[in-house]
Amino acid sequence: MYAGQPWGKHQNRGQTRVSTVKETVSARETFAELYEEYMPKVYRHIYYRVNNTQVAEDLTSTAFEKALTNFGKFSSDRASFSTWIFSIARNVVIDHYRVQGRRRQILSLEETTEADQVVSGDLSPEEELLKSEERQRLQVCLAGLSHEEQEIISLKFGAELTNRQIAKMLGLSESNAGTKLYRAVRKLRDSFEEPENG
Amino acid sequence: MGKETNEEKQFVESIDRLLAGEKIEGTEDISEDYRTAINFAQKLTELRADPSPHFKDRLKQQLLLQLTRQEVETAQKKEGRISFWEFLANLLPQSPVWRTVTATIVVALLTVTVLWRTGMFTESPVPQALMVEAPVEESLAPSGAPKAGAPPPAPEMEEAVQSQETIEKVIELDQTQTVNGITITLERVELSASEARFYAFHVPPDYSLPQGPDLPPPSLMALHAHAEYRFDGGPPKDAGISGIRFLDNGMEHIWSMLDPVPKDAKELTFIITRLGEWEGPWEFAISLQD
Repeated sequence: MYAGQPWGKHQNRGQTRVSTVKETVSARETFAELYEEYMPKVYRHIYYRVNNTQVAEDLTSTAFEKALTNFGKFSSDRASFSTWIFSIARNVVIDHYRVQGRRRQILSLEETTEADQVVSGDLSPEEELLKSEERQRLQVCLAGLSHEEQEIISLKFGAELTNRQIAKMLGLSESNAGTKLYRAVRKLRDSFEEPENG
Repeated sequence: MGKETNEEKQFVESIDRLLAGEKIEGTEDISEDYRTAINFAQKLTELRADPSPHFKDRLKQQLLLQLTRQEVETAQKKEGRISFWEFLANLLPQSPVWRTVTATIVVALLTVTVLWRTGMFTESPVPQALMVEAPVEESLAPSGAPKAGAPPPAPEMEEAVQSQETIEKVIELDQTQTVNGITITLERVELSASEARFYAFHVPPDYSLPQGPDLPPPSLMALHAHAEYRFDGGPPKDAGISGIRFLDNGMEHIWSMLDPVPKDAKELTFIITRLGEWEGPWEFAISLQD
């Protein structure tokens, strides 16, 4: 029997339009929330790795554009999105260095540009200058760590991932990731406190 | 060793609390190494580079615009697909009665089309409906003899043929000839005022038909026969290449649309010159006298 079936053209089209609008609003809201939560972390993680504001901004944009292309897969799973977006960011950084021919990763203090002076409105000019110098010194010291140690530092202090997430991303056990993190921080501390790095 | 492991665990927990915004208070029993590491971790969090608000807002707007474009494209694709199915649905009448009538007409049309293409309305009924037409070879066509698939003769030509007196009969022959180990039986000749038609039968080595709707193998599909014919020892006429039917027990070769046989002819000779790759001739003499 055909009675009661929605054969009418306008009825079907109306239903489709409503669901499309709902999906669009929902996707925009979800994406906006995730962006607010993860964008600063992605940026910090990338900045740790490239030590340049302009490059960090470009690579952050690239990472989020790539994520957005397949955003629908992760809009309902926040945990997956976290791991996924930082995997994308990590690969974007790797691609960046591949394209650059793995050119120098160490920027000397003299090469640091005006754009790299990250300014916080809460500090006095003197404090801001001191912080900027410390940040530059930190980058020099970071460049002295191994590639894996740099990644662990940036994934922990930039991306704020848990040790379990870091371990999964780098193919380590969770306890091994903790050990490596502890050692990397101490190694970085020692390097940072050496007089020649000041 | 145990103390260091314990410190590692404490350090990891402290870092997570630090990153969550908590303040880490030192305890009496921690080592100097651990304490300075925690302090340095604190410095690391303070020295982190935050994105500028301008960049953050600009990228957000850019991404939301991109998301909107993606959603519009997806919606357009969905609309396109729905419109097509809506179009098909609207082709159907809304009334159940008219739907039944429409479905019946469509099924009837399909049935007639299928039957027409099997040749039921144009050929005499033959068991095993699978028939393969002979390929047209213009160079082998006899002069003035129309071939299978060729257009019908012009009206004046047709009139000339029909004005002649021709033999009209069906001759059951079942004559068998074996040449080079290949046996062919000329089963029947149908003579009419419009055409002469010859039926031969042959069983290829290891002949078998596939079960179901599958076609016979290409080696059989290409197994056509070439033939010629003549009246009373006159010049041979090209009969062209046979059409074939696949029967359960062998292959039937048919030559059709050949010249009608004149009334005064006494003997008809039909010669199969080649069957596939096998050379003949397989020659059959047919007496036309009663």
